[in-house]
Amino acid sequence: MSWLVHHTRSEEYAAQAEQLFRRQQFSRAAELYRLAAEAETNALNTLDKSKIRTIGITAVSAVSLYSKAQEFALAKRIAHKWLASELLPSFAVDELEDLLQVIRYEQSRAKSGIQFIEGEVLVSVSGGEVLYGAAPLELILRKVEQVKSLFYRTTEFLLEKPHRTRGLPGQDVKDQCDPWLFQAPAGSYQFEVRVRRQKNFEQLILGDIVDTELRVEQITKKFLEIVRATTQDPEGELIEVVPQEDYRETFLKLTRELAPPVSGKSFDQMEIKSTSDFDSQPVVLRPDTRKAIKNVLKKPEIVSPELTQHKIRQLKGTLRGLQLDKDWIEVNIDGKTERIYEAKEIDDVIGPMVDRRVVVEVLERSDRPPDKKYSLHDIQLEEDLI
Amino acid sequence: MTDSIPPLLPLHNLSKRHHALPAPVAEYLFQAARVCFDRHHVSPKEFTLEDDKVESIARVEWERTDDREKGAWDNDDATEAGACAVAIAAIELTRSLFAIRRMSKGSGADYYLALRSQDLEDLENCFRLEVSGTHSDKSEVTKRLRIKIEQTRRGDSNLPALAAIVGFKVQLILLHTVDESL
Repeated sequence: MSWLVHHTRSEEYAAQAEQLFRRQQFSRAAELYRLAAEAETNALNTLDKSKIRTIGITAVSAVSLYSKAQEFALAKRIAHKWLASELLPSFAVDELEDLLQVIRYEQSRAKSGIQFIEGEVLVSVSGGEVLYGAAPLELILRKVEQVKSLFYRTTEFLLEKPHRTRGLPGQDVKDQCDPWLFQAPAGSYQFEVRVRRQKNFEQLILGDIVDTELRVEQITKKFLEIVRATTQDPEGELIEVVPQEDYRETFLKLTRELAPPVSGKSFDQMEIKSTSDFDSQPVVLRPDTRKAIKNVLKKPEIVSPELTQHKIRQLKGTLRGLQLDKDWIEVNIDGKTERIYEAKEIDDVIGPMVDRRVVVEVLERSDRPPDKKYSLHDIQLEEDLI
Repeated sequence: MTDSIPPLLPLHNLSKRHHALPAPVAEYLFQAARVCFDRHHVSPKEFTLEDDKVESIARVEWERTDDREKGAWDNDDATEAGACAVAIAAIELTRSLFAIRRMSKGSGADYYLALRSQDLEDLENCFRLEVSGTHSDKSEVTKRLRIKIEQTRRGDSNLPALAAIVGFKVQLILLHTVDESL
């Protein structure tokens, strides 16, 4: 039989497997992926050595299909065999090496035995100072923390909890959302986040599962939906996805914090995508994402006739203190401490800025005493704006 | 001067012309596209088709989705699958290229295109199709195209490639030749 006959068979099996996978019939999908992989391997073995491109594409396809079938040993064997053949074009060598990393990682994850909620989120930062597979520790720690904040907020939103204006998420939220960090295959700098499933989930399934647990199963999916809407259509789709204004504003601010700095110096692109959704397009955050979100956040100032002397000023200094219960923050500007009032910022945004250089947009009010003239309009890290 | 009726985007019966789209797959992709169209429009609608910066108009006609069909899709899945259907139909209309094969890769899959008359015994002379879809405004559509072109040029390319971006809300289909040898 020819390459075409075998490959057509492989395509048919793979199409069926994909449909089953989408319907979450994973074991049946894996069986069909295995049949697709076998057919693709047969197709590969019929090819003439001169058909370099077809060999390369088909080899990648066969290894990918075995990997999707969870037949990791076979996938590795075929990848190594063809890598050793010296018949592969360079693009196929790169793709097979990447696939081998993915397979190794999938194997270790399968061994862990820990169950996770369906879906995982791959976050990658690139450009600026980021190398292939390496990045400044402080930058990555900050991004991981911001992603975690977004996961908690997503969980609170799904659980229909009142919008949290102060403090950390409650233990009940942490019980439902336990984000884990996974090592992802190198490429720019990547990390993967999954949410651990509650230990008693099976009992909940067997028993009379309550709506709450079902909703929590959607955390990863909802997280991606929110970030996508926030970056791509904040004044349309985001309103559909997050109807509550207070939640919406929080998601906008947290996503803005996640975006690369305006200069692109430390990194200039972040991609967030699902690794379990077929054809999932990454959500891409670039330096201009900050400005776009700021424009959405900017509310037109309502200036009453007696307050016409207001003006917006920008202050640069080090954030030294927070008294969010009393709605003020302190910023040290050239050795002088300025207190800024009406600081209705959420802890997730402003907390990580303490003892760091910030750019504060304030409303300077002429109708107040000099020591209380500033009210907070916006605050961002200075490194994100230069 | 009389206004000529723009050509119809050939979204119906994709499986009859595109070897890589067996009937269930073609139906699945078209249903996703209908869900996306219904989010913003009522049939029929005219879409701008920009093929390597050459503009034309294509008429899009579809049957309205019912609640059951709508409920079967989530936003992301519908956007991606629907964009594939629209992109493949657009390339058929403008370039007479057809989706002949599909290949798995690390995540997702690639469609490979060829002239219908071409011998399909291998992939040596095919074109790879890169698709993306969005419900955002025009600036996002063009940004998406830029990203796709960068991704394709960044060494992930295994064949001369075409990038297609579908803007469902703004009625825009962008096609771009990434590899100059096309």
